[in-house]
Amino acid sequence: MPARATPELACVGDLMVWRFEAMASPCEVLIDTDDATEARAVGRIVAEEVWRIERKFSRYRDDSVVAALQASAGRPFEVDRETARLLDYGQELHALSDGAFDLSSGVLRRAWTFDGSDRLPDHQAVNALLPLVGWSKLGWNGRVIKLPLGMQIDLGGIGKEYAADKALQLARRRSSSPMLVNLGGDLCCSGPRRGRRPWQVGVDTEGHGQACRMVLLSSGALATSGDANRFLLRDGVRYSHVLDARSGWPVAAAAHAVTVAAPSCIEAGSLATLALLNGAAAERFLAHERVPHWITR
Amino acid sequence: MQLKQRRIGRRLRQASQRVLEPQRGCAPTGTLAIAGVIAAPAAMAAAQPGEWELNSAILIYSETDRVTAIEPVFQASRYFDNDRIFSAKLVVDALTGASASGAVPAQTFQTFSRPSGRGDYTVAPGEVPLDDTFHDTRVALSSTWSQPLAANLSGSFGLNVSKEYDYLSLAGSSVLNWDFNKKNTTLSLGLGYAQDQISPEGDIPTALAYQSYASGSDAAQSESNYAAQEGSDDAERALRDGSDSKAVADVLLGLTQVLDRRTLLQLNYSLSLSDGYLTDPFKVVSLVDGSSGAPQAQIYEHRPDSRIKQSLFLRGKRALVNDDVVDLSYRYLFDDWGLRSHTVDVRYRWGLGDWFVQPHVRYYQQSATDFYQAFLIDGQPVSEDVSADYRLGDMQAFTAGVEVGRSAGAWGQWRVALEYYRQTPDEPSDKPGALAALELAPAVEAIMVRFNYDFNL
Repeated sequence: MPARATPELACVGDLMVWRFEAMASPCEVLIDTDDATEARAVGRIVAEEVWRIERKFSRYRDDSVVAALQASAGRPFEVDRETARLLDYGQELHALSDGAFDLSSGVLRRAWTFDGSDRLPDHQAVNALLPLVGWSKLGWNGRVIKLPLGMQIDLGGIGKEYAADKALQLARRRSSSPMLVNLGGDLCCSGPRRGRRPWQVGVDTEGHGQACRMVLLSSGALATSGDANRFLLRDGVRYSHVLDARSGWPVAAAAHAVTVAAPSCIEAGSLATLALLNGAAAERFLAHERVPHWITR
Repeated sequence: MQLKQRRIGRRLRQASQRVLEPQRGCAPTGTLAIAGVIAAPAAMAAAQPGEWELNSAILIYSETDRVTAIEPVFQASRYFDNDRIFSAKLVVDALTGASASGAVPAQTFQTFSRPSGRGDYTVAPGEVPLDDTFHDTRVALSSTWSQPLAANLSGSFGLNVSKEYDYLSLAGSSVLNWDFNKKNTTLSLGLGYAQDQISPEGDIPTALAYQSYASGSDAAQSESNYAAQEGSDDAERALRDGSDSKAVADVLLGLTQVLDRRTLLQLNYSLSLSDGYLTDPFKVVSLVDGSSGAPQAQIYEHRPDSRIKQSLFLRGKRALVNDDVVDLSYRYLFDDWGLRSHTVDVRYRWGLGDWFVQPHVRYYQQSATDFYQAFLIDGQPVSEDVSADYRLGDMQAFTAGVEVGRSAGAWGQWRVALEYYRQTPDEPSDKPGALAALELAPAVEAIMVRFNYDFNL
């Protein structure tokens, strides 16, 4: 487990802020209260829950569910309920994206390294990995998964948004003070602030790591998918890090960043990801879904 | 590579609600109804601390030619931090119409005293005597407080007051739920106690006492015969008590087991002890002539002073792969009055996006209590307990209905149910003389419409 800075409570304006690090991102909980004890308790609940989810689903830890799944090496493997719900969710996203989104597409990273360079993999290397990608190749009955040898499951595509929602859900059982959970830009709030004021959220709609647009949020969540520093550039063509699981190649004409507002963070994040997977049609896709969104090309 | 352009919002919304659902079996419906404690309604997101959840309903129940009831219900629940919930409920019940008095039909006109003793009514030959005097309004107010008591233990405590024109009921109840086995198993213990008081107009009739009664070959003759009879029960009326009471204690033991992510099994045992005045002061028993079958007189019924009722309830609920929900239940009830009943109930909740359609079928079969007699033979000894109330006799009942609803977003959710109900009491055997040609216990049909509307504030 990497060393973490000790979380601490800070006051920003009239808000209490609990900052911590998780999932390779700076995270924070904003609590609209004057009660530091309550704020600290809420902060701890959120951080613990996010770390729990990170530990459980990390692909870098050998004691995670994902690792155990890997080790099942083709044998039927019964998962716990939470994992089952996430797999069900992934299955639904797979269906809704006609296969472009796939929880098993993580192995493609062996061929693709998005470091801003022009080093494209050759087609052979990608094609060699394709037999290991595809939700339809694994067995899933809602309880038991059979993952063929060599295939991997990666919940990274939905994990952070899920963690934000779950942590908020848990914290709201402790406190009714207005609060906002922000995990590296994917965020959700419990409702408006005291006095029915909205939260002012700086959103990195450009994907450059800095807020460039102020969004007023009174309920629900915001999530951003983008390729800020993760792309390849060759012969003037920008290759987004968003891979279409069906071809193993980046989606053509993908937006740089998509931010979506929705009732839950996982829903917002999924819509943002699906918009990226829609390539040039991202605008049309989101307009059609009638959700507030910001697209950067 | 382009994705199909189609709206996926609704499916995605449902999927994200499922993935974020707190640990529970049969998530799509979300209602784990452990007898007496009804969880938050179906697809609606549970209210959060600081929010109000409001449930309203109106029920209209109408029997052909008999009782009509209109029942509005309003419930408000306030959610607090740490899973504490306060809820208050108001039920108003307005009843009008007629119900079977227990007397048998005859080949002649019959004139009966009203239960209050004030006034009379005449029934034509062959007609089942229905007492049409009652119209009553019941108002019931209840409140419940629920909260966690320890890590896996939660409790709810309730008080209930119910008032009718001639009836007052005060009750308290509590339910403890203990979750274990990773919350896959819940044991419930419910305790309830109620104290009821009845003060009927005309006071409490003396058990098995004669009621003023007459018959005649036409309505006018029957009524003039009755006028001559009227007041024959004055002496008995003078001896009556103004009110009587009963106490009811209930114990419930429940086990709810999540079998897998989509299947739930529930087993309840309940015991109900009643003590006190359990007789219906408005019901009578006809004394008929042993050979002609003609009614001679009417006596007031009387039921035992105590009742021990037990029931076993088994329910299975399963969410199918397409998120439709099958709900099956069976109840066996038996008591020391000799009554046995079986109820089988089947529901299928069919999801159609934001809408659902839920067909419902129920079958009920009951065997009579030991003291049920459709009529008595005049001149034969009468046992201490006797009732001709067909609801204590052998009968079957069948319910078929359908509920349609929409789990809409911002404006809350609503549902409408329509049900048809048919009760078929068994016709008594060995009816003497002219009674053999008459139907004593005709089928009762009813239509029920219920509209529910739920929202959060």
